[in-house]
Amino acid sequence: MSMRGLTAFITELRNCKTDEEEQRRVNKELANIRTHFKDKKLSGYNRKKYVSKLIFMTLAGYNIDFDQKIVEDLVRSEKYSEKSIGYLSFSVMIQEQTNITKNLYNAILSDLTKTSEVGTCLSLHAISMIDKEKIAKLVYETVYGMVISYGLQNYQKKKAALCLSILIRRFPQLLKDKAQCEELISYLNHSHLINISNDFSEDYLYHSIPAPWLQIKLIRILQYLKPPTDTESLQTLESIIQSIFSKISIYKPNLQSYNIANALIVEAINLTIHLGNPKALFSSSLSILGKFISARDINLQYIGLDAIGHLASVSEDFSVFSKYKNNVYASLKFPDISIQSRAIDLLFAISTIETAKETVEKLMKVLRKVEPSKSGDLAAKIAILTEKFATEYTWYVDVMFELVSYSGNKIDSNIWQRVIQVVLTHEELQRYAVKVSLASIKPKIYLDAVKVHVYFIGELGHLVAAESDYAPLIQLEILDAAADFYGQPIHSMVATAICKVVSHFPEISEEALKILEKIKQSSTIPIQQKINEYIALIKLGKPNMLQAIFTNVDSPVYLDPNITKKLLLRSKSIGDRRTWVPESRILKNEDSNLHNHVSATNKTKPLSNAIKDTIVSVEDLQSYYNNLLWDREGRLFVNEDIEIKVRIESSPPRAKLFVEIVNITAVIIRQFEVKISQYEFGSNESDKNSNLDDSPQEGLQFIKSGYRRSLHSDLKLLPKIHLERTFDFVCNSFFDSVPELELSYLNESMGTRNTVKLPVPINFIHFIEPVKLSKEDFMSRWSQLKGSSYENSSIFSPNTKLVSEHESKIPKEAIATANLDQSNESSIQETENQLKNMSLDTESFEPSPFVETSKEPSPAQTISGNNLKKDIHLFFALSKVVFPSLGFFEVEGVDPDPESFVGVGIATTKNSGRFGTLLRFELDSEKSLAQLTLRATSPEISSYISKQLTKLFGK
Amino acid sequence: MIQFILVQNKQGKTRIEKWFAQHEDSEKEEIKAKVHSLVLYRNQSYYTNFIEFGEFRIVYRRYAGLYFCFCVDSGDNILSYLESIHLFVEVLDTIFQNVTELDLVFSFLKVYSIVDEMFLAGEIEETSKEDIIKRIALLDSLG
Repeated sequence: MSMRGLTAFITELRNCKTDEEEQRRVNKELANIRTHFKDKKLSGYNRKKYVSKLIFMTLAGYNIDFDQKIVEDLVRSEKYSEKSIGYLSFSVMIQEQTNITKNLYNAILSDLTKTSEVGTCLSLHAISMIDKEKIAKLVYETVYGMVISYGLQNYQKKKAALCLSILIRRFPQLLKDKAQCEELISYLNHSHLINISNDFSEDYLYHSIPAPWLQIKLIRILQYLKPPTDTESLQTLESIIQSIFSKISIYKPNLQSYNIANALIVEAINLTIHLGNPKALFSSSLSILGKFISARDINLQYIGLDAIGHLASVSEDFSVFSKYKNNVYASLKFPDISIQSRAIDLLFAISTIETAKETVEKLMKVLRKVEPSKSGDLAAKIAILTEKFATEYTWYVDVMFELVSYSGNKIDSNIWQRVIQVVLTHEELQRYAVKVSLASIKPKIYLDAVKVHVYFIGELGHLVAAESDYAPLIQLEILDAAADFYGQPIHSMVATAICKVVSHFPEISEEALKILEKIKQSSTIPIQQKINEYIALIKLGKPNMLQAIFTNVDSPVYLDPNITKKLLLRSKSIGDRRTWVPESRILKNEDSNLHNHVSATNKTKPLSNAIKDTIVSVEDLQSYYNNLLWDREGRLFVNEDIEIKVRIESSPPRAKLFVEIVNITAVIIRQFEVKISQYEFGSNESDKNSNLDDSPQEGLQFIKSGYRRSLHSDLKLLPKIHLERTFDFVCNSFFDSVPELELSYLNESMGTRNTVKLPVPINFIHFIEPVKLSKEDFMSRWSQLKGSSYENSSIFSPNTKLVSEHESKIPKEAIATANLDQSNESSIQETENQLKNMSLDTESFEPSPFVETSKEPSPAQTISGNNLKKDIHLFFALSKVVFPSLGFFEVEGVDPDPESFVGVGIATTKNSGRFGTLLRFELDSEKSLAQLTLRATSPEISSYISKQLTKLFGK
Repeated sequence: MIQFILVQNKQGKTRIEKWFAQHEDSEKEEIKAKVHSLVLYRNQSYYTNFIEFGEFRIVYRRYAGLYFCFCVDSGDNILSYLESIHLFVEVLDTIFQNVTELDLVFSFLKVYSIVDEMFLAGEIEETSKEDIIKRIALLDSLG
């Protein structure tokens, strides 16, 4: 391959002392090459020598034009050494965005089929670099044919397969249908491409580990597939994973084998997560990652933090991660921004109401030192954590003000807008916030922070004006001082704030006017004009008018979780899908090309006469809906054609609905459509009209689905293939009616069109989260919410059938105790004694007097009384599992009766704030009755939840 | 998927560049400068071999005065790419018998054909050192 002329030229260039000298040498060579290119009889050797020089100059950073005709001649050459240089110059040109001529493309395409094996290989490489749909279409069938052919060399096939993969990634529509997919898959079965376990060649040992990259790829492929459901396959996978886990090494006997072995372990952990974290594997994963993050090797720490973040993203119980907290805090202090980012993301992911305060404190420290490009993201995360987990409003205000006043770096204006939104929509925050604002106006704080404070003083100052420390005159003085400290940039805001204060307290008009006049002296012309208008308004002496003007001068406040959205924004690449976005769990069945084909068949069949509309009512499916209230995953609907399973993930006030649709027939279902209609179930006409509004700000609102609209219609459902769709909702305010999930499809054998309309299985209860409260706090809140306006209670006979339906969910010990209790009456006696011994403290919990029913116990009840009692015990054991899943934290030791549940949760809405919900559930096993008492900060919520839970637990 | 491969020296001169995704020229110059500035000041004992790079991650290894950088999708197994780099270097080392920066300069044609035998379309194509070396020898003999 070596050419003397080329080597000499490179040496000359390297010997140039200055850039100018080098440029001169390049220019001279270019002129020389141009002259030679004019020579019609240029030899192949010279052609490749000159083109090689051009390639070298391009790679050295010079902007070079290639003669495409010469390059084409090289590509068409029979000699490999010439051909390969033609191809290299093509790859350089295409990287440089040169417009490639048609002839050159043709030369490359003809190599695909016409020449030797090496020629085809070069052509495949070139094609993989061309990002043009037209060319992809031209070569697709040929490349596909190479992949599935049996006659070709492995070298060629390997290249063809990779080339095909990038063509499909770039232009997914090329993969015409499922049949081709299946063909490719069956080809994998027959070929000898994959064979590690038995007779992998010695050549594929990498530092004593057999074919590690192939192993990793295979484990990755398993994550693209739906996890197996049969125990045998699961066991096989589990044992493979365990054997990979056993090779963990956190020391470095051989750096290479150590890295690659850990790479395999990480991939195995990804697979474990994909399989739904089987118990034994989950704890080994976690212990391995624990070792990673405490290892001395910083790369392993990074990998560990990243993977724990992955694990946490699918976990519901974050307490298991808290023991690594200190390691993660330590990682925050590393100078390497990569490690820091992983640690921040992980802390963000595993924060809970218990740890948030500490985490936020640590993150604030990082914020002061972090590099500017990262501070915006970090500040947003702190803001979200603080808002999400604030239990004390003072803490929220303190953190947010600190965040806003943190002046080291520019913080996104989203943050301070958010503070204003949150404070203005939460009355309980306002007095504290404005007091802090009044105390915070000092010289040399960040201007944006001063603006927020001035704004709050104007907007909320009147709330605290009755306190002598914050009297209206003092507020004026503080505003005056703000104008002094910060000058022109805040004159306008200060003037507006002063008017707002005066609008509430006209008696200080005189003083206000003085300050306004003073500010005016040093303002810019437009602001002076504004202040003049303000002065005139105040002088009119009409406080009512002033109030009307200065109340809500700003657009109405609504909570828009912009910062959350911004954080989650990720752009798309054509590369490997991250295996752990929730949507990827199920293989997609999506093909927009199909619809031409489908609509053609339509026209031949008059369907309009035969449309069959199946509209399903809620009552039929009540038990599915009941289960989804707490289980959040399960069946929603089934008929003879399709089965629908759903999963609900909520992060109040948002919720995501995953809908999985399976065609359970043996034939293809065509023209399948799925959508959400914003029509509200059970609401009256006028409500419906208001929903025509673009963005209804009330109730449960459908925001977006995970797919483009065009992909929702005209789908083809293949038998037994799972189709998954996601839909995002937001809970704006309390709701008791929901949008509909509408599916329709063509049943070709029957010639009918079926429509299924189902209420979306998202309930207000899904927006309740457990909140940890001490017994004392619970009692004080419970007694605060006394009275009919907050409380709702119901008595019903428990639906003991639930016990048999959900037996697997009941803890084994509870079943054992229930069996024991059946023969041991004394335990009930004990309970009764306990009750009698209770102190008569009025604040303590007394058993509720069960309403005496006039009904005599039925004979059946007395005969099987013992069985019934056992059922009631089991029923209670089940309810202890159900309540926490519904979002209620169990407060222990409040109720003396062990067979009762006392819990508390908090519902979060986007626009109307948060609602504390307290609950007490008692069972009387003698009478087989249950009593449920709900106390919530809103009466409609307590009555609604009580109704829903009665439906869930009652007969 | 590998987005690009860059091999640069301490002065920031790029010795190997292979782009698997399309970029504008100016963007490529920017990326090269950015990558160089990112890897240059990382002390091996306090810094990872991974740099978060927008939606991607750069996996790099330093051999004497040369930085080998792979930019990969953020969901990729980065430890395995860390070893891909090493495999690449082992192959270069065998073929050039103790590879130096000068080999990459003078024998750039051969270097790019090695890259092509190991990586295609942003994916790892071949991982057997022996096979790669044999294949390169075969191509060399074709004339």
